Amino acid sequence: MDTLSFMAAALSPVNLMLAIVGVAAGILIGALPGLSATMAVAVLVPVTFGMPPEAALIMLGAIYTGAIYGGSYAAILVNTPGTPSAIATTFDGFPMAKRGDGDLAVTLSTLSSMIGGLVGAVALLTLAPLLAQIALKFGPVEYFWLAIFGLTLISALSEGSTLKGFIGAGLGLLLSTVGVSVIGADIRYAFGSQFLLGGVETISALIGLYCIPVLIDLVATPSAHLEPPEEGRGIRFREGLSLMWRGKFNALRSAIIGTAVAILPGAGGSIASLVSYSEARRTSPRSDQFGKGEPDGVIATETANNATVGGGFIPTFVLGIPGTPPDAVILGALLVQGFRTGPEMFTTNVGVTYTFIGGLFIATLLMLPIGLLIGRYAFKSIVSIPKALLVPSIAFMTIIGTYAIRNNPFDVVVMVVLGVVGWVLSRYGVKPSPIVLGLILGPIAEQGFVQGYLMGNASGSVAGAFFGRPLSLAIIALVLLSVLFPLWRAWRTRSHKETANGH
Amino acid sequence: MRQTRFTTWKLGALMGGLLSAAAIAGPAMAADAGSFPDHNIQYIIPFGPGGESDISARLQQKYFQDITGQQLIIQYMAGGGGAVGWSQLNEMDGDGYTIMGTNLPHIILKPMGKDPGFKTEDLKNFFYFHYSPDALIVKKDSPYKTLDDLIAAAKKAPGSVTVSGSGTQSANDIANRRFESMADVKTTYIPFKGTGAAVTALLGGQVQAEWGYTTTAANHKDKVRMLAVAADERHPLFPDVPTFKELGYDMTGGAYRGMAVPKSTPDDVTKKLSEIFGKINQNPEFRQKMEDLGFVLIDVPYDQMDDFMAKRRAEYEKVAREMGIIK
Amino acid sequence: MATDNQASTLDARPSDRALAGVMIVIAVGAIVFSRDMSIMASVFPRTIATLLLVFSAALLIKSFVVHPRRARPEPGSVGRRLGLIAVMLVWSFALKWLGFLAASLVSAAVLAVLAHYHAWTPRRVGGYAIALAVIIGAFYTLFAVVLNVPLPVGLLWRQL
Repeated sequence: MDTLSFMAAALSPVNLMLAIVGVAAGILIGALPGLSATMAVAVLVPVTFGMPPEAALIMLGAIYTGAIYGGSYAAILVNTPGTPSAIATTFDGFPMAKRGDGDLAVTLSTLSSMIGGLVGAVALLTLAPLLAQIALKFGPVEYFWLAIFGLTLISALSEGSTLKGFIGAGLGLLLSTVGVSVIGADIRYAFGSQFLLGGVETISALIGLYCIPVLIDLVATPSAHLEPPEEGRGIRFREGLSLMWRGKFNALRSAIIGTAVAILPGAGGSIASLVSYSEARRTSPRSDQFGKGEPDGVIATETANNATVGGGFIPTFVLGIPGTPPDAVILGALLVQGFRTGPEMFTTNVGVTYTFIGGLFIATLLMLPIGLLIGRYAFKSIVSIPKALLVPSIAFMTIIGTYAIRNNPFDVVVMVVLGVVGWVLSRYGVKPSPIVLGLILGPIAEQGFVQGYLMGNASGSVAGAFFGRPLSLAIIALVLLSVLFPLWRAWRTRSHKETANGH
Repeated sequence: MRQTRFTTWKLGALMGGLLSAAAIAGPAMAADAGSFPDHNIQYIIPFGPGGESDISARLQQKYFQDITGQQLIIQYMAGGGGAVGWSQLNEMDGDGYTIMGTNLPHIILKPMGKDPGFKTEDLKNFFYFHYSPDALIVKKDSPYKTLDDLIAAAKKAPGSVTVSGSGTQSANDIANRRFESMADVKTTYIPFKGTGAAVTALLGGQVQAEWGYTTTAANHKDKVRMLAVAADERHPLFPDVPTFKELGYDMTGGAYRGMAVPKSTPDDVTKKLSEIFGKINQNPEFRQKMEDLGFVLIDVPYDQMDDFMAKRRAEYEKVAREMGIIK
Repeated sequence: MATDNQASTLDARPSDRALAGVMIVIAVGAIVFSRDMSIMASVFPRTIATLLLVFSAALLIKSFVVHPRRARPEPGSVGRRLGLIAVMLVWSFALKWLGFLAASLVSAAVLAVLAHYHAWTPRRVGGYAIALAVIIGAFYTLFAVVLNVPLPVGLLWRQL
């Protein structure tokens, strides 16, 4: 069949090599805290300008998918997400590493990323036009309710006090308003500084909030960072496989969530992994183990974030609208090459498209051997690196990685300042995740709200705009579910405690 | 003995750092218009990658290398809708090896409101090379077949026709206001973050029309059509789309793009840059590629820049007063 | 999340009150500084600030009514922690003035000293110095030379 022969073209020596090199490079870049997937794709785009379109696409796609996977290394081994999409992997990945199961976590991440990537690629191959049309149905109002849904997830994710979780989210939401507003073009909270004009850059805030506190606590004690593993344990592949089998529904569901989130333009791996994590926790029989090193947590987040790679290409190719931030960069690269997206991709340019999808499949499959190889190395070296080298190296990478996002030295200052603030706050019980969620979802919530309001005004009924659309109502139902469920669960635990302690 | 070696090492590393810093700063200081350019030029785009500024810059890149033999290295400095980049331009080396993309109406409109960190006169533009004409875009299956259809609908129910566009006080916003005053109608303008989001809203049926550019329509040729174009002549890619002028509305304009150097750049180097980019603009291959994407090429070299900016300023000032940007 | 035994938690009342106080100040500040914004642009910040105010007030009240506890933070050397914070802050500000390479080399060296708890033998010193120099040098070459990222050159040197 035509499709298959195009995909087979991805196996040509050149394309294969590009896929291998791309995946390996992507994994290394993603693994380093401070260097994100978007940045990796952006700085490497010029390299692809001499190449034919399918080769460029394969290489960029391989780097992208490798970086999303590689982010889990730093998340698991150092408690700092290598890329924003690996934030949720720190929740259970690092506790697993702390108790000596770091190698297992890395293996699980490898298997999960591969499965997630395959699901996303299958969706791209088979369902792209249909899913793209569904994505278009999401308008400002739906995005607003989705943002609210995301924010209510905080109640599910907060360790300890839900109240402090909301306070953290409020802080993040406020931070997201600094700079020039989209609606109104007002300059908000810049206090005359030309640097604050640019707003708080999300990725630099993420890096600061997650990496700096880790560094601060690393210098504080002489104890080794991680327990070295028992000798001769290998990579625990079989154990990983059996855990994957046990968590197969979790993996599949998380991959679907990841694909679904990625189809919506603007939402990427970080949101996808957070949603699938909280879903996994909600439905798991071991839900109180989440956050303490539950393997299903790692499976959920890593399947979801790699599914966003394939899923994000759906609106990018079909509609010409980028699904995730790295897709925006890739789209720009395609346009410069004279390569039009839209139906042309499945008609006149169908060869390139299917060769690329074939390449994406191959890159995803390659993640398993390459990942296990590099992962084993990474684990051994991180465990044995002395703190005196680890701390300055990670600090250095956060500095250079933050700077390279926008070539703005002020972003580095913001990163450090927010990091210190985040460390202080976390000692007082406000964790970084709600702040980060607020920062990411703030613009989505605000724009959705104001745009929906304007639309409602034009059609005569604001309430109708926000509450009258079937899709919005479905999302509102999800919001209510996610708010009420933990309350119900807390009530149930408290009544259990009361019977147990006889208060 | 070992202690000394350690100190020597650290010193060595420090010296190495200083030397490389100086080495990089050094050539920047020597500027000689005769052999200009003798090494790569940094081209800073004050927006993120993938946008129209980026795409047009990358097209220029290839021809720049053909003409000068040096590379044009594109970097990004996004933030504040361009303000972060423009406010830092004059802090950069004025040796001709750093140039920055500038956009109209942004650089004229932004300083008119709250202080964005720069003034229009601060930016030393040396060449403006294209503009994307404003275009009123609707979905292919929209009930509005002509511009008059939309005007009629707006007149019947003021404010009920929703139009999306990129940003507030941007080219799209201005286009909408000018249109409203010329056609004497009231629409509801809904700002989105970027042209991409504005197009998505149109395609999803969230709004009835979009203020975009010919480039947007070219990009989504299969799904949208234009009601009118704000240019002097019909665009070669869209021979069926009338201009606003033809329909009786004296409206031309759009998003203009060009380049500037830091103020401290000497005039002869600036003129040389203007010539080089002028040559790129004359290259027939370059022109074809740009037009295929929907751009309209213009040539405003350094010596005509002041006139050009003054004319644009007058246009925007009128609208800005109406919009309340200038108090 | 698991039940903490008494010794590993601290009384959170004073810290919760301080936290609530600071957040209330921030929320009020956000509302005050939003006065010169247009209506459309001020809706969101004001709503969020108000919600923040409500939540912080609730936290404050809770600290009087209930007896909250918080997990004992990991003990450790305060001096080294403050040292790291100071170095990172100086590093981020110094980028513009000292340039990327100089600022990074110096800061990395100081951090290595801060993070090291055992004895300094000359061999160790040499080894670490080389390792750090190689890492910094490799990344600098990759970014500045190969990928053309404009790393800060250092305004101080330019003025010399």
